[in-house]
Amino acid sequence: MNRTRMFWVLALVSVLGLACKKEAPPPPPAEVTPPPPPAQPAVTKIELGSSVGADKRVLAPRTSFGVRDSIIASVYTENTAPGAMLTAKWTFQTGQTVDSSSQAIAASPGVTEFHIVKKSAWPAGRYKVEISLNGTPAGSQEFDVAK
Amino acid sequence: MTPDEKLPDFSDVEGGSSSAAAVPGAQNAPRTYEVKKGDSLSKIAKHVYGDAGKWKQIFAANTDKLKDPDKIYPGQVLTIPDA
Repeated sequence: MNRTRMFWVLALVSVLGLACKKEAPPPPPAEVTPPPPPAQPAVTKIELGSSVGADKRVLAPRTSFGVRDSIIASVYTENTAPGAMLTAKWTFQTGQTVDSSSQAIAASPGVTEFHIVKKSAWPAGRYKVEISLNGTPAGSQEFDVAK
Repeated sequence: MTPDEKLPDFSDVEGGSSSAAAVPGAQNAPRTYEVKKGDSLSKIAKHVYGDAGKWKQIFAANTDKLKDPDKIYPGQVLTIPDA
């Protein structure tokens, strides 16, 4: 009798134990990697020289020029949208604006050249070209003109 | 600069621009120059480096295609080494 009773008690405890067994926690949600943000348009390099190839890269980068030299800036850009605009502003050490011009970027990646020539000799001194991409300053390069 | 000093005149400056697609990987590729009629190595060196005396650098970088520095021909494509 006791054994039968004990059997039923154990059976009941087992059944209750199974019934109350805590369910396994659900697996954690899979980590979702957010997509990388779109690459920002950027000016990656500015080179100065006196001559440029068909690919718009200056042939021999330098930052010192003679008073009769043409001065060319090659501006390398990446991740630009169609219609993106580059502006080059050339200034002399006095703060005077020498020239300013804008150019739509042909492609991405792209190379855009800006050039300045002067019929008379360049005044010797320190100059700077400042590059803006879609109106936002994107880089600058200083150079010297010496007699 | 004092107010009495005359500012330089930049009224005769002409500017311009143009743009092209960049060839992938070309950013560090050798730079080249296509010889035009009337060119000489010293003229190219003056144009590219601002120093005609650097023609020897151009000649040295192009000994595979130039045997005589005085003989270059229109249409030849020369490698231009960094200054």
